[in-house]
Amino acid sequence: MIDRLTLMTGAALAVLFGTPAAAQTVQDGSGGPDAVSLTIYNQNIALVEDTRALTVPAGRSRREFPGVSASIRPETVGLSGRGLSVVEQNFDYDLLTPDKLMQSAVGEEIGIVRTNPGSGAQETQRATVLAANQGVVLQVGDHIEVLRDDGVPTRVIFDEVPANLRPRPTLSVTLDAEGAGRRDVTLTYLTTGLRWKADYVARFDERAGRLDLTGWITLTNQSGVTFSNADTRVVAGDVALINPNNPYGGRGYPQPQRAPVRGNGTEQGGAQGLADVYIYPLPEPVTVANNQTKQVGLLDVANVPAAKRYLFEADSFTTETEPRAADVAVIFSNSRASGVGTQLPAGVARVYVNDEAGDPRFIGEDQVPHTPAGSDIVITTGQAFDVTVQPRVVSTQSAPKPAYYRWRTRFEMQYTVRNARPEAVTVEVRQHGLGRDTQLSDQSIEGVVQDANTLVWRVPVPANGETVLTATVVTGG
Amino acid sequence: MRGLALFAVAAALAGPVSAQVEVVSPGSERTAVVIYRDRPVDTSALIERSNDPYERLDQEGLALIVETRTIDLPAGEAVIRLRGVATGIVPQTATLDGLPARVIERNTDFDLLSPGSLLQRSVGEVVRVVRTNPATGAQVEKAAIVRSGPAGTVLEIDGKLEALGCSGLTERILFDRVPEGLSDQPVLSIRTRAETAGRYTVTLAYLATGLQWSADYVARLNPDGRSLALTGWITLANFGGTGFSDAPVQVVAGNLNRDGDTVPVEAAEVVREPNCWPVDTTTGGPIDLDQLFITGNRTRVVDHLSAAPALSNSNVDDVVVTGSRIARVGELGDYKIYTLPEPTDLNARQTKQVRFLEQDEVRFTRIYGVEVHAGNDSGPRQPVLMLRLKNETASGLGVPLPGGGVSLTETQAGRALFTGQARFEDRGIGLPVELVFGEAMDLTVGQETVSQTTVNGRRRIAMSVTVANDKPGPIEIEIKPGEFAYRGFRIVDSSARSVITDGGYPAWRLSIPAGRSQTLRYTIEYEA
Repeated sequence: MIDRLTLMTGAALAVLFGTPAAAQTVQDGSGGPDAVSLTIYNQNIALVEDTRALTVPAGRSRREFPGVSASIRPETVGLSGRGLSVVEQNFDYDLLTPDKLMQSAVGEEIGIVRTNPGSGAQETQRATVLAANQGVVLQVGDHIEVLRDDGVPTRVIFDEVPANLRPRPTLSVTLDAEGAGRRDVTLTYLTTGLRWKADYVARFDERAGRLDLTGWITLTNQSGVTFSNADTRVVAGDVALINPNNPYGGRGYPQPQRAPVRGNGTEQGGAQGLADVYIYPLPEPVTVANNQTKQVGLLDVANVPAAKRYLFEADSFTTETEPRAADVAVIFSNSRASGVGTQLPAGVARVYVNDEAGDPRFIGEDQVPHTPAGSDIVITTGQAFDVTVQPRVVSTQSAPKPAYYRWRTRFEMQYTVRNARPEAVTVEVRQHGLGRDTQLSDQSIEGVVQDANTLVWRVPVPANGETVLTATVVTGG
Repeated sequence: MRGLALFAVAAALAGPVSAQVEVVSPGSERTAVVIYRDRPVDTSALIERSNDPYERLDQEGLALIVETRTIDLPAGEAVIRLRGVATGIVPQTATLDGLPARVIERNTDFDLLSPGSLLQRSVGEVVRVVRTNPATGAQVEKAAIVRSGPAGTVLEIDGKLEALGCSGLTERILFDRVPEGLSDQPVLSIRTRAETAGRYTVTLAYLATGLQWSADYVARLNPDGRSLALTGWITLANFGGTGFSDAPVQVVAGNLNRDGDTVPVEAAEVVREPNCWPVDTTTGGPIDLDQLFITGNRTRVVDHLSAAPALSNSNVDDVVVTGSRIARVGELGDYKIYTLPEPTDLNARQTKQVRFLEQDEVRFTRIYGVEVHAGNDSGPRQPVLMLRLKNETASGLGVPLPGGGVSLTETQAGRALFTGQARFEDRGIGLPVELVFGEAMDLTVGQETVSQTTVNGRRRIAMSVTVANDKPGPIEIEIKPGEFAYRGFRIVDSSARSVITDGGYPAWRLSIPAGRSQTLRYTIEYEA
């Protein structure tokens, strides 16, 4: 087995120690890794394992790693290989620009080529750069002048690129090797710019009470580099990340907005579970190109039992002067019995139904949080055109209360539930805005106190008709 | 000209697959468009907004684009490129039906072709630099290696280094080709693995932004004064960059739930930042960078425009009215779907109107309304004009009414007169519709708070409201007590009978003959 030696190096290590300048620099022929594997998380972070076969001389040598992510978190880099120890790691982001080139030429000789704007004649001279502040001061022969002081077109020719200036940020590692030879080296690091989420397509057949569910893993790569033939897996579940700007808490890199997990499932899903997250390996290596959105199939199940729900929620006891549309949701379960039998990673579900000509048409979309298997999944698609609720406060008055209650009110409520559809529907009416010790009486339909802040009635409404729900609520404290 | 192209390219991709066949589907043969709206929109306001270069109307709105394509599927592994998709495509929503092959993966690449990205992708590559002598006009072309990218370009020429755009000479870079993957629009592709080859008709469906629609109504008062003729128009607007020709079009009425992530893929921008060494002089101050970097500056402007494509900042310049036939309404889940009578062209930057409703005798009630708040006794006020309709067959309606704006006109002395505009939300069959048309002329409401007392924690208010009608005919007015929602509200006494309106609040209705005034007195109380 490979003698693994992993060194996690802090950014502080970029500060010099030892004499790395003495180390021999080895240029590599190939530009990138020989093999790469990616573990991508939901939260704009990914773990890259980059394996390369390197020919390493004995003793100290400095090695550059082209082709690592441009969004690398250098403080998370670890390197392992047989008989190798890391002296130091540097992440150089001193980029080659004309300005830096001139700065590093101070004290050096450059060539200048002036073009006479009248005759077009070119004159080549050697000059020494004395300073490059505000303007470039040159010594040409025995006199001092400022570059392009007269505005005459002047080319500047530099003899070489300083070794520390690079076209891209570059990771370099100074190694200490036991014996020369070729060996596999594995570089592991975290990078931002890679993320994934799930996208679901649900084709809902209301009449049959079934839906077909297709899920896709959607990867996006904005890391600045392409990972070729990467052995890729994605991890569902949010991992803890520290925030460099707020060391006492909070999430670091830009995080997706997440609805609270409402899954109530208790079943174990199919994907490999590890450290309280689920891992989905992609079936074969993929090339994750820069600026690419890539989709790979996640699940495909047909004939999942599903139902439609109309819901109206009133946040407080008020009279609404206009009827308000009820929310429409499609509800199904990802239990084994329903045929799904797997947890669903967070993403967006889009629902399609057939129009009268039988063509599938989009009807709305909703967030799906990380959902354990066996949960009820509610996808709210939109508002019903033909099903409305109009609440009215018939009367309010103070109710008798214990002395330590601040308030107690008796609300006489009336909810007009209308249905212009050609079939009967049932609308769930929820009343919030409750205080303590809520009591229900004089109900035209039996309702329940679902929790301390929710009353629920299930109101049946005939086709092309209306039902008036009345109830008296005494609440407050 | 929509044909089929098949390129067999031995892709130089290393890996488990030695060679990949690439098939290009250049465009769709038939495209159907379904346009949604998540809330009623005002197309004329949208057209106005489209003049603003910062508006991103190409990223608002939502449509389902259904394309029918013919694809020659090769056996084995292949990459199928689907070109000519609509701008504004939301790639993760794409579905492809009808291809009997395993889809290994599907990709959307969007590396925007720009001067910056050209330079960035050419780092380490050989380009040619052409310099023009300002006096003689002679051009010198040299091979150069790009040593650093768009944030200040350094070129290696004959083994020596020079900066691009710092010398004051006219310089330009010649590239041999566009680096692979750079393009001006997103490229959708799928990687398939099929048992056998064959030609298939497939359906590619995806969501895209840039298309919107609204419902607009024109109401004309009939001479009888008790009914109106209502015409409903569907206004389609295409703020996207893609036109659809001869497309079946449907629009969906109803409020959809939408997710903030359903947005078109944004091109990763590579901005070229002209970057030189310090350029101050002893003579004339710093060399004018604008002059120095003419090309550089232009690059930035181009980048900016590509961020907000030219299409979004130009006028919607074409308004087409096709009223000869009427759109058909149907059901789509819990929404209403309107199918345009015939396929139509939906060009980029165009609005188009199609009639969907024509009801000649819609009965209505004309009523004025005023809300009275105790203690708020300022000078006389004007009530608002309201038209109340009932969406029922008996009232001459009884059809789904997608929410939108209504323009009311009436005929006076033989000439059409525009009375005002009102808006309403989606109204299904059986629901009341209330149109509020702003303040009425020749009607004044004066109010007086007669008394305010508080007894045993109950506040009791006596009001007197006087309405004067200077119109030539009788009117009806509805007076609403502003305190009706207070706890313990109760009408103690009033000079006229109160009613509960369709809006669920109590009110008094007065009928006032022409040239007369009437006074309503009422007493209310509520818990203080």
